[in-house]
Amino acid sequence: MTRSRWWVAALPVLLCVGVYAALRTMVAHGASMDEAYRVEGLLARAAAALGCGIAAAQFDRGDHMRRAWLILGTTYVLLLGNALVFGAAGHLSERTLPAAAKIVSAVLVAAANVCTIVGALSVARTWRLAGLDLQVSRTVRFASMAASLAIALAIAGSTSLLDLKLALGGHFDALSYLASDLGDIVSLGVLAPILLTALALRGGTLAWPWGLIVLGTVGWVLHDASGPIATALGMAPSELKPLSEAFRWWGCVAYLSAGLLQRQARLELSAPPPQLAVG
Amino acid sequence: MADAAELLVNRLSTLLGPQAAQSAVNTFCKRTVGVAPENLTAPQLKLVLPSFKPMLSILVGTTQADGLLASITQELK
Repeated sequence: MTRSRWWVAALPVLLCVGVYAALRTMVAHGASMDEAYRVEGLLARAAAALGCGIAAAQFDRGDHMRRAWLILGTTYVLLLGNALVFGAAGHLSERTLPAAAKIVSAVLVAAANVCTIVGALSVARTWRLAGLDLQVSRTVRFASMAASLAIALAIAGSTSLLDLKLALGGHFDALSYLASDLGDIVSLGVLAPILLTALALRGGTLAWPWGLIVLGTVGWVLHDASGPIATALGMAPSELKPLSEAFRWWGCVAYLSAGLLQRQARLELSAPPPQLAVG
Repeated sequence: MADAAELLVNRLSTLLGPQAAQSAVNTFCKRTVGVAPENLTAPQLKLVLPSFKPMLSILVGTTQADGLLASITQELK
């Protein structure tokens, strides 16, 4: 069981590498990339939505984590719908859409990011609701929360201000970017309690889905930082988009793996326990 | 009843990991009946078990929490 869990947990990184290699090869061969990016982007978001759905299905109606997973899943359903109808927006891709379509698209992206924020906050407060001991001092807890918030602001803060200025200047696409930036800041900002929960559960089957939520956030950090990473690695400008898309796969597939691992934890719990002698 | 408390930790460990399971058993034993796990009596243990339900319901879902607690109760008989 543990071996199959490792494979499921490794899926985000393996697919990230595979997608990067495939996209980079296509770019190098001069393939027309618009359709390729559209299809792989849709598949990545669909994988994330599926993973959240699988995770939510392991809980009962009214359960806290069912709600949290459904809200996170709604994020990807909205982003999938937006990408299907309007094409994916991003700092690395321009769209030619009428102003009304841009506004509708921005509303969809904003709604998706509200779901990200609410979902991330719900997941982050689970330990407190459950009464779980994180096994770290209050100081460590607050310091780690402050650190994750500082990292979030360092990564997405300046971009947010830039997008805010653009949005105020009448650039509707910037509204979508701004909503994404805020979603990123909050989901990165609450990484510390999620990481501490995963660490507190280490050795148990539940540590796996929680660890994958953390791994997914790492993927999104890398996606957001793909520009600086490409620069630091001395990559050609044509390699930036494949890199950014590969990190998106990392972030999205982590939710699929988390869903599968949550399901595995439930199945193992349903299996009869080994017999222990009780005195 | 040290063995029973040990069984409780063991069963929860599968899900929560050994440290969180031990910590949860210590916390809920002290909070619910005011004694350390190793000093629990059988009637006290019956009182303690339901106190795990809210935590388990949040982490694994209500049905799974009920199933796990029912199976632990059964094993303790």
